Amino acid sequence: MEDKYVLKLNNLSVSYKVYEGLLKVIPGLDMTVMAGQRVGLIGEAGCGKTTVLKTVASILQCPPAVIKYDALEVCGKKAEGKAGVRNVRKTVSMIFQDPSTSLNPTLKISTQMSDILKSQFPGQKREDYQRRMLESLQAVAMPAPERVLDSYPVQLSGGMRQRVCIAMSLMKDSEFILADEPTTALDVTIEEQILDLLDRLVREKNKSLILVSHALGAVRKITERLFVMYAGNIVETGPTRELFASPRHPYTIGLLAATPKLTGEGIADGIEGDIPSYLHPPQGCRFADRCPRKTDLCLEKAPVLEPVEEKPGWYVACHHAEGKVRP
Amino acid sequence: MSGESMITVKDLRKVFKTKFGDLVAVDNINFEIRRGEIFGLVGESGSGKSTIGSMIVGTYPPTSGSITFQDGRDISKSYKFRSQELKREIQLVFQDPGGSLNPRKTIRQILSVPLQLFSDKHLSKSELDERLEKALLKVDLPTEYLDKYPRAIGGGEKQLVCIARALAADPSFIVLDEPTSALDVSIQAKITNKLIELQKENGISYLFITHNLCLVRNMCHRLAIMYLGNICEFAETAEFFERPLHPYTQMLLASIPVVSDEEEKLKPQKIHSVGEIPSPLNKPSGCSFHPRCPYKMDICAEKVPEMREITPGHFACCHML
Amino acid sequence: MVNTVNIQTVKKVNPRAEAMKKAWYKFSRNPLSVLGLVVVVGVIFVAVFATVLAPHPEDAGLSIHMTETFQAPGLAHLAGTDEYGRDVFSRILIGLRYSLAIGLLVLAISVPFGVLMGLLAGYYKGRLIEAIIMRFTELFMSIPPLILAMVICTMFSSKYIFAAIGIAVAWWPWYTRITYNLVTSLSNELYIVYTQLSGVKMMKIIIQEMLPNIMSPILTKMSLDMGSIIITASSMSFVGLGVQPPTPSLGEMISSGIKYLPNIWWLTIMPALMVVLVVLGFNLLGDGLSDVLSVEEK
Repeated sequence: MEDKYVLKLNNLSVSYKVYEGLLKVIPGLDMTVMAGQRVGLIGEAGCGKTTVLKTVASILQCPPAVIKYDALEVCGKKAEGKAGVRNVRKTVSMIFQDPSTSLNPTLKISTQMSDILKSQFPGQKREDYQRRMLESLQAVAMPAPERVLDSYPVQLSGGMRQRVCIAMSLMKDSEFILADEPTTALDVTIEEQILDLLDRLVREKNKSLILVSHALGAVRKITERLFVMYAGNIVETGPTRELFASPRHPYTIGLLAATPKLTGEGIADGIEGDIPSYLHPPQGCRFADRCPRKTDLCLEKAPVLEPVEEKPGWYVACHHAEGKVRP
Repeated sequence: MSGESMITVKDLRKVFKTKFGDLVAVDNINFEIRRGEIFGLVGESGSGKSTIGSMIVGTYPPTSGSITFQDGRDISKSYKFRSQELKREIQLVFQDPGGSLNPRKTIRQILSVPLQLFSDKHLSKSELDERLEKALLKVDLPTEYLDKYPRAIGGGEKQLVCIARALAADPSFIVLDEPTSALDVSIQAKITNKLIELQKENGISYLFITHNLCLVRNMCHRLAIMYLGNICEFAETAEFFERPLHPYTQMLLASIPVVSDEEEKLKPQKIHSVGEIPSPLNKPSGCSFHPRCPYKMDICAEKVPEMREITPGHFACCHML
Repeated sequence: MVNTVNIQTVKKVNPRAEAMKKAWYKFSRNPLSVLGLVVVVGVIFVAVFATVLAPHPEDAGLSIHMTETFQAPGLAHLAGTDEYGRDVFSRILIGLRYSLAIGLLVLAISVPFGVLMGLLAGYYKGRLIEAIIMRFTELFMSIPPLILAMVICTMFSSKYIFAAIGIAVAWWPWYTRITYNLVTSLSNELYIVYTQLSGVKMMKIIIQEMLPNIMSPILTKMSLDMGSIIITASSMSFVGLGVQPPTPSLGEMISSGIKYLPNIWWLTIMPALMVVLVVLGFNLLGDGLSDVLSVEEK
């Protein structure tokens, strides 16, 4: 249990072929998720977080994407060759941002759910399928599950659709859930319920979770480990709450300062500038252009993840971060 | 801030006819926006907050009730019946910056529209160019952007162009309909601060429509919370966050995912989010929040509560208070 | 002062040129679109220089070579000869010219009229004019174009030009419909809502804001329609309307050759192959155009 991991990703690089040339989105990324761990992946639009998630789920379209890695192991299965990719796809469950487009609008919920069951557990009786569907809907605290089974997606509210999606992803007997902005399309009070639900289910069944989001609060609420991404790189990783309390990387600091807070102290001015072009990414640190701590070193050499002093599992990729272990 | 009124809304009601019956989008809305004020209108989907914004800019007229502008000009009518002067004074910024700029026009062409439309004389090319550059400068965008197409610039920059377009009309009041909700946090911060700065510089008033309470906390002077077409609480921002009164606003506050322990302490602890937001087509009887309310009493299902002033300037609409 | 301005304008990248370059890149990614373009350009080239390219241009008329009747395709006559000994290949090239001309003529009449009607219906939305235009459109759309065109053609004259007018009468409603639909859906776009709220005149909105967005689907449809019009025109020639013998048109050639099937196959198959080639070319080009012209976010 101790060192069993559900995801091992070594030296991932992803590029996209476009008109102007090659977009080198992810230059080299390592990521490990232990069994039973709830991991958050945050970053802004275009930072490559969805690319990482889709790579892990082996559903990235190539071409236009060009994927290279030293190792990609999901739940003990290697994503090599067509069979490996199919295996990985079968093993993970994905929850998407927009529950209205991830359900087929022309089929009843019961049909869509039983299709999954039939592919996962073939050759069972109809009553068994029916029972399992009701159970999984009850597990996501769905009001009136019988009626929901008999409905089309349009007849359900956004929150209920997302519950159905979660129920469907849990029906697959996978121990690894990948959630891509699962609550972004929902209202605040409904988001709270869905996050609570996701949290409870993952804990109860001891599953592992990657939650990709740009909503810092949502990630802080239900994950224990955090990866902060900027322009295709992981710039900081560590225990979620501690990291939020005292971020080390200038990007994380800026991001947190820019988040409007309930305490009402005003909002910092955000981070000047934009994500660098992936076409000709800077040689050194990709954040250097927007960084208040920039020096010549940053322009020459790209920083790598280095441990932060006395904080096990906390790494930061910055030449000038505080409290870093100096070699 | 002077007490002069900018927009006064009285007994506003809007009913949409749909094939499933009448949809009461908003009902019994009363509030006043003062000159030089940022007024927050907060609510979740189906609360009717955007409907109010649309009626103020004149997308459609109210079914009943009145909206008056400044010195008492009646503006409870659609844009077709408004004077050009009124259209200039009340401007609008939408949520989706991508959709609010014509993809086949350059920024120059887009910004020229309000400049020429609301100018009292015909502008020569050099005058127009000068004003175009000024308009971009106001939102800190370089003048090279004039010859770019919207698709060539980022989402935040598009929204800045939208703001520049609204300011180009030299308005006294701007309706901001979720101007930053489609943007990233670091860009949102920039736009929000820019909006606050522009408001102070030009002395304009905003109606800031949003679902994000944290933003309202840092931006607005006063706010109203809406639920299913009604205002349920109405107060000065600081007072509101200190003492939220209505059970729904407490639930809303408790639901906000926050990023620090200090904020966690500010949230109401006793209440948790339950239930679904009902469809506006099928509103519950009495107080529309009662099916989700933890403090529900018998009277809540029967009688619509009235808006009452609980403490000076702090209004709420709940039988319990 | 003047100099600096000049330098700036020289340095500035022309956004239109850049967009064109990008569009061409996108277009050229799809080999089928490029094939379509090559075919269309080739066909137009051949049609324009048909009299020069054709080995026996005089065969387009009433020449008779009794010694060379019904020769199978070979080196002397690439597509064989017909019952009068005329070179089929030459007749196809010249017939192509008439078929393309009829296509262009039909588009030149039906597109401006149809688009104008669609814009008017969009402008007078909710008023009587909209209802009249749209009901008329539906009325015309409910009649098969070929039959309508034939009726009109027989009513006036079976001349070439009236065949084109006849087809155009049957064709415009589709452009009205597509334009009207585009205007309707564009009305909900926020940038149109903004201009409306600011008090820009509806006519100006339609011409300045909407038309540039409408042009690309119309252009695509025009390219796709070219093929169908040529088929329709061919079908009309087939029953003796439009281009009259001895002037060759692809449809007329197929129809007059059909009685010699199956033994003397080249009289029908060769012109039919040219119809297939032209229609395919314009369709592939249309598909490619629709890919390129759709505006998308980066």
